[in-house]
Amino acid sequence: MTNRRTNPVFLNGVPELLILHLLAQKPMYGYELVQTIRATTEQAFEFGEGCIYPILHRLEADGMLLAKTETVAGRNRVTYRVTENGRKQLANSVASWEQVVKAVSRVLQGGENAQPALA
Amino acid sequence: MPNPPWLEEIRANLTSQGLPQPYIERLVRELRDHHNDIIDEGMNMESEKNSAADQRMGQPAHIAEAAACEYSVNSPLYCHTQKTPKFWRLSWFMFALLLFALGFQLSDDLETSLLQCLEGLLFVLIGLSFQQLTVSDEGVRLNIRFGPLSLYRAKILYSDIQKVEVGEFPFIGPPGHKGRLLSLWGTKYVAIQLQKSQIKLGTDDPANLAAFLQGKISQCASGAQVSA
Repeated sequence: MTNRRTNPVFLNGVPELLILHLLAQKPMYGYELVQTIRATTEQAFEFGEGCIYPILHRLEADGMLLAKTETVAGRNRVTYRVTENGRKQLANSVASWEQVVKAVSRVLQGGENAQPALA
Repeated sequence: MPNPPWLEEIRANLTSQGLPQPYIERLVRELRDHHNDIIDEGMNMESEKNSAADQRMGQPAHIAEAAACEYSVNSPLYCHTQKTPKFWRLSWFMFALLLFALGFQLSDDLETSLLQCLEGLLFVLIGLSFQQLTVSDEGVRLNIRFGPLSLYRAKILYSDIQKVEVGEFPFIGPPGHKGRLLSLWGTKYVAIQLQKSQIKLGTDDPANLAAFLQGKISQCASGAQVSA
């Protein structure tokens, strides 16, 4: 089987969650969005910046985002903003994410406690 | 100003996969703007600027792969439904109706009647499950679904496919092959060679299906080369 490199952090709905969350705060164009992700996460994620656009386009096709061409600092930019559907999806994604985090934390905490008992 | 080679590589990759031109043009335009923005961040040498921007954008094969996958979530790049001939569908249901009729009219015994009706029902279910075969792209895999009642389906990851070729079953006699046979009607098929097995997928659209899968094999291979 051929091994195709995929970016682990850009899987399982995480990019959608980050994109929707950041765009819900303020409309942004692609470059601006990527720089915000980098700055906010302190460059914890490594990803090809070009990979953000296919996700933006899919979210737009899904009705989560609205794209509008605007002139920003003398350049034509495609600015993305979150729609009402996008906000609902964001709320669901945040709830799911929090559940996952809680569940993983419980497992990790349980694992730590279980070790001495097993020893 | 001409596009840099990496951008043309993405355009060529997506065009070969059959993505619509407006989608490709928009993606290329936004990628070029993004690339220019990175260059404008300011570094010393022009060559350094370009090289750093290229690196940050990511490998063209990966961007193209991501674009094809995301696009196919809503619009499959390949989707074809083959249907059985009308006379076959009709005869199947006529036979089921006949079983029902026999169950109700010809048998005096209640158990035999019920059994006959169950047989009729079974024929209806089988008939509904194998009237059509839909083969569609799902980003990273091929979805094979018999229907309209979807009791049987199979999925093949593109990255598992080694080669494909179009073939035709002999007119008389059994197909005579090892592996799985997924066919609804007709003699034409696409042989999909996986690592340890082969699937012969019957279709009335063999040339297009084989060309689509060939494109996916090339795409996977280029992705693997980039990763290596």
